[in-house]
Amino acid sequence: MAIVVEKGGLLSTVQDLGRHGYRSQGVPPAGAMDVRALRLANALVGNPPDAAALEVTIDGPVLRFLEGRLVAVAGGAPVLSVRHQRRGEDQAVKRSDAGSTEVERQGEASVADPGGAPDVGRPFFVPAGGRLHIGALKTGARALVAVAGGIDVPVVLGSRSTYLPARFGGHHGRPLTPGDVLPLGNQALGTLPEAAACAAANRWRRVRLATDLLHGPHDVYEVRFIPGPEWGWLDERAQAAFVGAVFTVHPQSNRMGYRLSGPVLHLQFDAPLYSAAVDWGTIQLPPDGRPIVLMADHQTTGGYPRIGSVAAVDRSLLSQLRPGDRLAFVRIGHAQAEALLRAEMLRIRTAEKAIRLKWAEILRDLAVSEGLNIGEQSD
Amino acid sequence: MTFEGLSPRRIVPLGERLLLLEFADRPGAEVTAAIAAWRAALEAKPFPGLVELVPGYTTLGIVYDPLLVTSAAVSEAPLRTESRAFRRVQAILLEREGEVRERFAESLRTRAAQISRRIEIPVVYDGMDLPALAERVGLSVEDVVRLHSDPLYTVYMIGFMPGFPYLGDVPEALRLPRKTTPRARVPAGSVGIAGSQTGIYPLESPGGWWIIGRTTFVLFDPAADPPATLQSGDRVRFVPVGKVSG
Repeated sequence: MAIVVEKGGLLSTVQDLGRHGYRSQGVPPAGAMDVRALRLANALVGNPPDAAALEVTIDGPVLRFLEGRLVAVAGGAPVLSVRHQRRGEDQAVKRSDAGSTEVERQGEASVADPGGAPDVGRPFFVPAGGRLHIGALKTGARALVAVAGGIDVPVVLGSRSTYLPARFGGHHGRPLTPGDVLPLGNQALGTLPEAAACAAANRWRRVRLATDLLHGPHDVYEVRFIPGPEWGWLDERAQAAFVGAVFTVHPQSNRMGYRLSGPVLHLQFDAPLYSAAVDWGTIQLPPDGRPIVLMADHQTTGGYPRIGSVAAVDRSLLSQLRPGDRLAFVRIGHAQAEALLRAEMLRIRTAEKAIRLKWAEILRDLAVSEGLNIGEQSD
Repeated sequence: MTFEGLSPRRIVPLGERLLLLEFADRPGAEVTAAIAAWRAALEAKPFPGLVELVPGYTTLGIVYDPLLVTSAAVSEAPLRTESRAFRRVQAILLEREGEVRERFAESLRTRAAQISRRIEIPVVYDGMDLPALAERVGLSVEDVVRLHSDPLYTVYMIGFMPGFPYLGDVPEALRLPRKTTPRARVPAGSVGIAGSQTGIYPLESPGGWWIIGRTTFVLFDPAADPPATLQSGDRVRFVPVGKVSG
């Protein structure tokens, strides 16, 4: 039971909630950049929060499903379509109640579609033999694609996440390429029969995630930060420049870190720093004066001055910025950042709970709930 | 080791999920021992919400889940301050200092603290920066090799990339700041020097250290437990060999 990669996309990797407990070995957490999107996509297909999904970047893959599965996409919003190959031709399908095959199911033309047209933020069904085309992202930089049952690659050091720099985890430690076969898990809704899955997808048609859980485009994104241990090494002018300026995400940005173009920041003094633990969101200032924000694949320790930390509440937002996007830093206190993180987690858990309740209702109506364990919270 | 050295000098927050116990301005044997003592105590009895511990040169990084830290504290008196998780972890750590002292005293009595693993690592000294480094420090290549392979180094920490050991201290005569322009690709197994530090690249990566040799010693294996071959606190000696066997 698997999906076959027909086109890899720009950078598609298997990711889960990350690899924890190995930083003392030099191994960073990795995991989905946009954790909120991973959790929502998993919840929408009935998976537990820590199931592995695909993180696709800027331009997505084409996936052929060897068996029918429910799929959900969250985070960045790609163009989505499901096609069914028949008589050697790519023919788009629409699954009507009678089961006839007609036109392509595409996100934009979904209003009158009775078959759970593929769209971001709700589950849809990809039939056996169907191809899921995940195109260019219209908004955001990364979309999380969850498949019911999860992507069942081997667990390495406690996680299925791909860690690209050391080439382990995920699918052989590398991005997806054509011909790759990804095994699917059979937990939760992975075993839902096709007819029931299709009917269930139809029941989700009118359900939409609250817009504040989706990534919306802005001219300048506001990213909240807490001053770090070396914030005082910047003089007042540099501090004002950091807070007042508009930065641009540099093309040399990736899962390890974002380089920012903007005002060059100079330290008023310098002292030797010995390498110490750093984290997702740590804002380092290397000698060239251009800040780097560490991301999911960050090195575990660093020795550059730490001028601040991006507030964890804005992790999903930052993950969705792509090279060329503009951002401005907004200073907040540590206490406020903690309160905001608490509120964000509550928001995610409330959404997960609402989705689980909806699933329970649908399965009860379809009388298929027996023996199925829907996305039990693992934390 | 003085017991005063076991008291963290500062507790520094770095975001909402990480804080650093800072023990001194500069590294040293006592600082490394203090970091190990705290690490052992917290690993033996983790507090609710502790995620993991990350030794540095002068610090112990403590990664915690702020939500778990405070949910575990609900039965206790409500914490007024908004930075609830950070304050809570700070309080827990201060409460545990006595216990760290007792454990450390006990380990001195049983001499467990003085026993560290000793590992020999064979090195072929033919690195691409060896002649340039020798010239910059005003020594012959032979002297550089002799000096570098002389000390019994301490693994201060593993960091930067999986299994990368930060070893010290390099003899004064060999110390040079990092190269001004980092190399885009340093091969796996490269042995390098930067200031008072020496280390080995487990994987090919960009790097700014002076590369003086190479080894086939395996530093990281994701299938092993623990995956890094060297651990902080280990003692290492480099053994010059004519060529790498195997």
